Amino acid sequence: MPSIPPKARLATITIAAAGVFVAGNWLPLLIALLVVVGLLIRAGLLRTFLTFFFTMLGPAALMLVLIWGLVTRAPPGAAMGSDPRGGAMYAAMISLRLAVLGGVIQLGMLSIPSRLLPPTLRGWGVKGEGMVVALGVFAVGPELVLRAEQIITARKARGLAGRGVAAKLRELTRMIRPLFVWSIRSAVHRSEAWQQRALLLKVDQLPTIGGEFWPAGGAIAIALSIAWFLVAVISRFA
Amino acid sequence: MNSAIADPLAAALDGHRLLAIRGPNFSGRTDLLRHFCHGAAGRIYLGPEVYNALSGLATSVRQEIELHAGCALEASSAMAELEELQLRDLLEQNPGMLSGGEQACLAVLCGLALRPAHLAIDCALEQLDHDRLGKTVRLLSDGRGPTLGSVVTDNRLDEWPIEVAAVDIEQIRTAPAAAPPVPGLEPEAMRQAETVSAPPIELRSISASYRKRPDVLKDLSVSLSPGRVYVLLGPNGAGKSTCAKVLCGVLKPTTGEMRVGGRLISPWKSPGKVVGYHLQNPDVGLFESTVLAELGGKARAQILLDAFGLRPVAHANPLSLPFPVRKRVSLAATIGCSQPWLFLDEPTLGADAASIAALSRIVAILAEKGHGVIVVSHSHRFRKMLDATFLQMENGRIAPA
Repeated sequence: MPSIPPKARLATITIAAAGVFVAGNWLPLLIALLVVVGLLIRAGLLRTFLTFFFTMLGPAALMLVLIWGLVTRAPPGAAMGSDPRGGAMYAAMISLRLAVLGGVIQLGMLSIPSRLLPPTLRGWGVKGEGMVVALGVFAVGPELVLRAEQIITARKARGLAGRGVAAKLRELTRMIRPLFVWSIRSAVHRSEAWQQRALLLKVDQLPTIGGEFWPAGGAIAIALSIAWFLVAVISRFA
Repeated sequence: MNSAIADPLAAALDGHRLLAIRGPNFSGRTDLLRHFCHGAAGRIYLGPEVYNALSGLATSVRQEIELHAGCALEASSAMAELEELQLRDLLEQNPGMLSGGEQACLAVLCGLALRPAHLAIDCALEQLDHDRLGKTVRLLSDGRGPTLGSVVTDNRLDEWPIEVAAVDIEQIRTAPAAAPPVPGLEPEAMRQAETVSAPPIELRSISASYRKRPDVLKDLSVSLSPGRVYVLLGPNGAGKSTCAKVLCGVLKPTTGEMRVGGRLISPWKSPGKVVGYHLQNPDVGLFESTVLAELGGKARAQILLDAFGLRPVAHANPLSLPFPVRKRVSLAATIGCSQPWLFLDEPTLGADAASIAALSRIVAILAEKGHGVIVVSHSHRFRKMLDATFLQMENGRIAPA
């Protein structure tokens, strides 16, 4: 599957993210969110975005609205309690910005095909230990999920997992310890293996496949992000 | 000290492409191989926990091999071997999602991709089915293996399809072996366990798959009678572990039904109540800080401590123990949960001949006590010792073997 060239991808993410901060009101942000969600669906990343939306952004947005709308009851710069609606609107705007920004970053980073991840990162100037850390960031999530699933499977297989929401919450706390112990053990074993195999030196040799990048796609992505940035600038100053 | 231990091994290996080291559990085989590789350039150690031999960085099999080879897969020498070990169709899969046998093959391929002088494989081939084992041994024996030869330990050496040069550990050890952390198993202790009355199980037209993947189980039907031992045969990746997950209720089938004692049930609503499942990888099934707590701490735990020879380590952290002992703890913990049916996935992994014989007795006693037992094992020795009904699993279906 062709992918946007590394530099075009980085430029697109940067310009689109800048547009999120520049946008002056909720309408362009809302439209941007819809476009981003559409692109996330096309990239097969909607599930990931919804997980982020409901587990991180949702609770954060709720907290922001509670603080600015019910506790401070005013936007920044206004006297406390003077404008509850303004405070709530301010919190909603921050949440909307975070949603668009989260979507842009997920779209920009998670749509990189795993095979093109090393050459993309290398195209961004990442190498050596930085490359290990960057690749690790991409690998650690799926691996933790996998290991957590294995632990849950093992607990269920012994009939230790209960039914109902309370039991599931209890299971979550019981999963943390084996997951933590596994992470430490695995890190120790793997560091030995990495040292023995000199993999750190090999990370920079991970193949670069130039032919699978799509320069025209990169130009389109940059053009779209510039268009979005201009809309954001206009919305701020119009 | 390291060189004192390792040098005789290097001398014994001289002139051999593949040398096997014979010896029972806790005879110092692992220490010998670890020390042989420790700090020595060009020597790669591959232990029984094959998942720890993978980088943890790659999100696909292809990337894992490319990381080790230091070049594109197509430009590496691994393509032919991938085909031979039946991994080519799995190139885009996450290495963590592979079956135990497939992971072991991948770990060997990655080791070879490093083009080492020596590869030391410590019981990592025990998870391979007969076909893959033969191919892997051939790979290590001919010119495609490490430049100066491989050294292996394996509890199934006498079952290997190819005869290889072997040496007893006593002949090459210079230092006396440390005392074993645990004694042998005492299967007769299991006779003190209470009798259970397992219901018959019937699976009808079961299909099951993992997220958006093709069905692993396809229209599987089987009837299982209590008080008997079943051995589920089949190559790596045939769906044996998936079958276990459906039976114990961890995985909800996409179609089909399951009857227990003639009653239609949905095991995924209360998993692990009828069928207990011992996973191949012991480490994911150890949750507690002591072995005793892991076994439940009740009267049955005392029986299991004796039967599995775990009393000396009853208060030790399970994860601090050697692999064969962790496997025993995990197995005992599953049996300790007293489900009427037990699905034991590779219970003999890492176990030597004496332990395998004892484990076969434990399985027989469990059946005598009324349990239904389903076993998956690539060990011929173990299978031969069981008075069992053999079932063949192939392409997601079960047939009498």
